[in-house]
Amino acid sequence: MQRAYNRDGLPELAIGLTMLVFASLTYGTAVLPKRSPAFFAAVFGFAFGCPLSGLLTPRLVKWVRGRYLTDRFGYVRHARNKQRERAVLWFGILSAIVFACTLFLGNHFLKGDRWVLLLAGLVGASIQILIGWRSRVARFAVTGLFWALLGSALSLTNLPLEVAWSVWFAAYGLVELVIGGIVLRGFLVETQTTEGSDGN
Amino acid sequence: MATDIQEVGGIDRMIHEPARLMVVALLASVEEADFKYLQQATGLTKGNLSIHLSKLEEAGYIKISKGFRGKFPLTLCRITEEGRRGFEGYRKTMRKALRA
Repeated sequence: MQRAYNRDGLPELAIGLTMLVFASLTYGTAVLPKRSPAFFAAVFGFAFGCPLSGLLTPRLVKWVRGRYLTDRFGYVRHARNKQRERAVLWFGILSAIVFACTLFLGNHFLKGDRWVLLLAGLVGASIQILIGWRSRVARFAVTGLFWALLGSALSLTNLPLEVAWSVWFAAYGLVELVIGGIVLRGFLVETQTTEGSDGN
Repeated sequence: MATDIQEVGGIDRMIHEPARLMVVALLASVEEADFKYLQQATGLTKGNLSIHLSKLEEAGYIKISKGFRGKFPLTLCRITEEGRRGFEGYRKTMRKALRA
């Protein structure tokens, strides 16, 4: 029943676009001349863009959904989900365990700052897989596996950290855009526009 | 065991009907939903869903409020306490009977 929440793929599209912007900003900090105006713009863009996108993206998704898609799938206000609240608690515990394990493994087996990428991949993967498992949406779990593989693969390369991050953001953004696009297309085909939301 | 099975004989027929069971189960998991959402989720036709909603409303299991969103009519449905109790009772009876 709760699956209807994630039928339109808009969150994935929003995340995908955000990640591509982050990728370009991170790449900018790696290749632009230090102390140049463009470099500072990239640094500030990234620093303020992260919290801003966290605040604005859910609102933007909600607005687009309400403005353009509600007539297709109707309006629903979900009840408080205690299962989800428990899932968040479990996620916190799981993240702490993954963080501790990765820190230990990274310090022992990886060079320099490579463990950061591995950590990001594994923590990100655990978030996605947990959400996918709890909400029974398989594509979240698939994305989680991709995160884990990407983070692990990048941690083994010799790329500078900023460039590795930009590759990480770009690859993740592209995957999210493709998945979101496929889901949105399926949703638009499945539903049809009607004149209103009334039984009479 | 026989007693659990026999309880099915006294099951709430207002909820037991498949279309109404879908509607009540959906509404039990949300705060409120509109007609369009229920139609999409259940796959029922407008007329069929409308009839079942009316029956559930008459039985006091759901509350229907009609209004407008912009210039479009909006029919909002939410389950009542009575409906929630009825659905919980139905679930318990069926679970016991199926386990027997």
